[in-house]
Amino acid sequence: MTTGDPTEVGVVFAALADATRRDVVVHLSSDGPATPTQLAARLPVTRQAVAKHLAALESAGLVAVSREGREARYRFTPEPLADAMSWITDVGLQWDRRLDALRALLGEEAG
Amino acid sequence: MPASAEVTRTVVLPADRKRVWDAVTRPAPLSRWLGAEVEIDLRPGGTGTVVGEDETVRRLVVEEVVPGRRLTFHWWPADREAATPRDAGASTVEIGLDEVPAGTRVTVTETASANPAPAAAAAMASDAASASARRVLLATR
Repeated sequence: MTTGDPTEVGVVFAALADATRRDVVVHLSSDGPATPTQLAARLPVTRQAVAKHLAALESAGLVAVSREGREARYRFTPEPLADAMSWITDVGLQWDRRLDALRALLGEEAG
Repeated sequence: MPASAEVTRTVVLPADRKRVWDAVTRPAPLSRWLGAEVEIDLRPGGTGTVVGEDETVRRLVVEEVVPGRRLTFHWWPADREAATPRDAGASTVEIGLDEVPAGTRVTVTETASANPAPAAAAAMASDAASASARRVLLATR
């Protein structure tokens, strides 16, 4: 019943562990799709660095790329983030239930 | 933000550490709370199976056993015919016990890592190998 593949969830969090990558995601989600050149103009990093961060985000499924002429255009794709959040919610609820059962079991044995 | 997704729960149970350790490591009590049916070979590298209340089946491999203190294992859904450990999606569970005045504090952490631990990867590889061996046997029968 776990929603989201734990490894995919791990990849999403690893991708977002970097502050610059979070900035890239924030820019793409608030200002819409952009090219690496446009993002580099808004962030304190080079175009090459932005391209590397975008590649990491793309492999985590957090951005999707489309070609426009000579430049690649990236857009934010939030689905993996939703999967990661529901993994956390579901796993937390499962442990709440299991630990309740453990408490009941130990109470039973003592009584 | 951590580099991995992590869920932590802490409860204090009114029982001594020995009783709680028993309940978190022996198959019979584990089958009353961790799942409906639990098998575990309690040693590093030991494998096990957890059938949940909802009949989901998980395979597990033990990473570390510190008697009375800490149990760490990796687990993943058994129904995934995974080509690679990464595809199978293992997460790591650590159950830690501490003595507190009111009894025993139980801290559970489940971590979804981008890179499954080697022990889990090895166990999953052998799972995948036996699954494909079974397929070959069935096909040649």
